[in-house]
Amino acid sequence: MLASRVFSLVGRRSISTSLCLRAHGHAGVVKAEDYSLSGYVDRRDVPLPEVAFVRDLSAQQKALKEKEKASWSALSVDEKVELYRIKFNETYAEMNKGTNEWKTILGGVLFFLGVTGLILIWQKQFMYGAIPHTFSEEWLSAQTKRMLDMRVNPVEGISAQWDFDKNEWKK
Amino acid sequence: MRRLLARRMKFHLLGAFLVSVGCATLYKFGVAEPRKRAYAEFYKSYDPMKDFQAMKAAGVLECAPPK
Repeated sequence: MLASRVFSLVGRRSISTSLCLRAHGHAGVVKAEDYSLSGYVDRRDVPLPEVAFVRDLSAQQKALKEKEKASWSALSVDEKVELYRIKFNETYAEMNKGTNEWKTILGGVLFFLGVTGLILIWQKQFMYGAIPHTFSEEWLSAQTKRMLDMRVNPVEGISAQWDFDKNEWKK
Repeated sequence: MRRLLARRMKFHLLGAFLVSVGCATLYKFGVAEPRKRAYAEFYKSYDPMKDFQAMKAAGVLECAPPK
């Protein structure tokens, strides 16, 4: 913002993007935005990400990095762990750990299935008209009798379940 | 990480083979064989003329009405 106010004193040019603001503030070099740089990613199949996890090291971490340049047997276990945590966010064990997300998903799915069921009940009760007369008891029994007379599906189907000698369903 | 793809591929190839062969076997012995036996049983003692007379008597044959 200060850069733009200085500029408005010099000339009446309107500056639209913050990028341009910073460009004119730092002697013509545009600072790279975060999204245009390589990122850190925790993935099973990317063992060594493009950048280290911690970008801006504290003084203590900088000292540790200097110590890393010497012999590694001089580092204690805690220092090695600290160096690991600078470079990586999670260990493979932490990264691959399962979550309890499946319970939420299953619960949500069943809940919405239940809601759908309620909607269907409401529809049957209040929306749909009468079913066709061909679903009445008399029609259905006459229909079944005709199917048996025609010997429909005599091997494995309905006529196989009927005892034609005793005139009843097979036990 | 070492040989990650190879390990995964071996596991899944074996699994896919076993699952598909298992499905085929289950179908053969759960569906196909009983069906073949049912048909054999049915046609062992099947009398088509008796069946025809029964259907004729019941009145379902348009060109052969019960007389």
